[in-house]
Amino acid sequence: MSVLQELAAALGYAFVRQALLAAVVVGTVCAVMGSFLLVRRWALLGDAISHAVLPGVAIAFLLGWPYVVGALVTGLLTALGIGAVERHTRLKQDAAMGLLFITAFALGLAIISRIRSPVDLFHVLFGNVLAVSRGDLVLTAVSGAVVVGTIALLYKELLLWAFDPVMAESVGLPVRRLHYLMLLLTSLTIVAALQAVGIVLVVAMLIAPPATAAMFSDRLHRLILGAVLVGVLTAVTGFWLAYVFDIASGATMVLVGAGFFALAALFAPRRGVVVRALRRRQAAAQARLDDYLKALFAEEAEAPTPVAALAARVHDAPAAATAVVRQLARLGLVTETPHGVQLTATGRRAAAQRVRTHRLWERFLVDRAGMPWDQVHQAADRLEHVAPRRLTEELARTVGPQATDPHGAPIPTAEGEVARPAEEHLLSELQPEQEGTVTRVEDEDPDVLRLLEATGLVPGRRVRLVRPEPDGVRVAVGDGEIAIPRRVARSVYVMPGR
Amino acid sequence: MTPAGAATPAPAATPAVEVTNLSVTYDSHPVLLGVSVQVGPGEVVGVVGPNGAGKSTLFRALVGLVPLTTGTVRLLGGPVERGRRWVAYLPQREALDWDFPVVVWDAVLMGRFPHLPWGRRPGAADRAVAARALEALGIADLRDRHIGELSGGQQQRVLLARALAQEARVLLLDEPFIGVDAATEATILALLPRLRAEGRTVLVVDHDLVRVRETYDRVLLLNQRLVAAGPPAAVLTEELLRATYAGRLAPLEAMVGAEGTEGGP
Repeated sequence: MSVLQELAAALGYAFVRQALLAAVVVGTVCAVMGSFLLVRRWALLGDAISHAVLPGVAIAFLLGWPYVVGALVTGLLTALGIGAVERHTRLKQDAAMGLLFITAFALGLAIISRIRSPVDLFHVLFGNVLAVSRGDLVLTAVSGAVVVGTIALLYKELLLWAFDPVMAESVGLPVRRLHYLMLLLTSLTIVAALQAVGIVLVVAMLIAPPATAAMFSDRLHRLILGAVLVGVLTAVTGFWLAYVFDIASGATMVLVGAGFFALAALFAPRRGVVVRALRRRQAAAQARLDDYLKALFAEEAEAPTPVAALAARVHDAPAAATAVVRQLARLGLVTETPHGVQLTATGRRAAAQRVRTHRLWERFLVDRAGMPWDQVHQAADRLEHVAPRRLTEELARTVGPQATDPHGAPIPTAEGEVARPAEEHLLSELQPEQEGTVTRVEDEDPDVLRLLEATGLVPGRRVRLVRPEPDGVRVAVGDGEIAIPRRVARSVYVMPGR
Repeated sequence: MTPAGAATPAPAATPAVEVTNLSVTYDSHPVLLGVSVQVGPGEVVGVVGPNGAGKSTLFRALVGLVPLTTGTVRLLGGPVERGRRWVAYLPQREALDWDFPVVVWDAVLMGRFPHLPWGRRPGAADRAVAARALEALGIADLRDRHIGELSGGQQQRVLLARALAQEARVLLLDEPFIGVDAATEATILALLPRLRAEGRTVLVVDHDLVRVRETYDRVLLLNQRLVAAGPPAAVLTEELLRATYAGRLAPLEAMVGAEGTEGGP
């Protein structure tokens, strides 16, 4: 007999149908209540109340009352007790709860073990949906209906209470009463779920389906609907697994619920771990491609750039560089030749776009955000990769018509055209007494940039080489003369002329 | 904005906010001592004072969130219980759980809840009010965004839009300019004259003395006691600021020095 046939046959039994119905109700009620526990960060409170229900069940049996009454009373007493302990001692809320619910739980265990009751301890603790009687089912359905009905009726008030208790109280909602109402409903939910999952495991049914739905939903009512869907699916699947493999039903339901949550946490489209990791990797890979394009663009070479030189420029290992270059070639952005790499026309346009974005960010950071010019290169490097592409033209409008970035490098146009200065020399290569105007400076090293700013060697300034010196050059800027180390002099570009 | 010297509307016959001899004590530490102040409809008032001066506590006392040790608070000419649903208290932004599953629209629509009976959902008229509030704050295009995805400035606008949706007659804004972008600051500043013209009462906790000078009709200097209340030009003197910031002068001197206070030494 196949599994499906077995399941179909099982539905012929009244007790199976009853159990299935109970599972559906429990899945629904726990999901609705649990959604509020989750968003109000009350998960631990649900756990505390559920454990504290045990002595209630035991005492109710001692007194010959229906166990529901006992469960409800102790559940509520615990909720009140937690509040009292919290107000009157210096214990933090989690410590207060932990102490209280374990004490109550131990009390319940003590009573049940002493009276050797017909209350099956295992069932109360861990649930057995297959043992649900008709009376149990009615009880589950009625408590469930009260919980879901109340929440549906007061949805607006509860939403405000859960999201913004301060506003709720300040506009006059009776937040204390709502608080206790929710504690009562939590107790009631636990009573409804007692037979199916048991008091130890019920918190998982309260939290797992809403937590799963939360991976997909931005709005509370959608979260609740999703949680109900997941909760019912969890309960029913758990039930069949329990039936077919003869396992405790509480355990199978919790395991299935945890399984759904794990799947959602991994694969949810926006918040899932896998998707986020993929997106990060993709972004990092894209940033790397961009860096290579910019480096090639900066070489401004008619001749191909050797891969080793390119690798050095982007601070990458040559082997890694080879892989990236191959990828760029596949994308049609570069051509590989035996002598190195060269941008294609498409690649040049793409590179110009990246450079444009970078230089506009630098301009923005200096002009608008007031950042010192020695820090903007690194900041722009990060921003250009994380900011959406369409921001580029927005930036261009914000900074206004600007020919160059703060370091004097030309900003390519939106079409990818870039103005090349007619003639540029490194400051270190000027002849003695040769004069010129600083056109641009290398922007990567903050130390160099600070030094340049301090000496006045910034784009637009006139400069004259006085004489070369052993470790650098002596130059005249403004009214003064100053010795510049070679490393710094090699960062400054000058257009010679009067 | 408003010229600082513009005639301050004298508190009208029924003040919107009326505080008499208010004292609040936390764990036997006095936070507010004998504060009395009246604010009329259409007044935009800045509240200035050092940290721990009781500015937030004053706001919380106005909406009945803290028990009063002495004194009375009246809102819109009646007891707090009657007036509070017309009051929007915006705590500092961090007070809210921005991970909560609501989108901008849901949060703004909550402004309508105080006016709806228990169990009644917002109707078409409520949605229209909320939609206008979104427009007024320039966040209509963020309607369906989750609140956690917004910038600090956008979150502040959501809270203000919610207060507009509430059609609040008294707005209590606790440091609305902290951590917001320039555009949001401009939006809030542009909103204030509109609220004034509509006869609403606005109290704003603000630390920026330059902005305080330019923006508010009246300024309350608070440090447990009400040190002074009056038009900015009369109140923002070095002497009164010293009295307000007593014992915490270092940051003040920087502020006063930077802007050149009238009535300086």
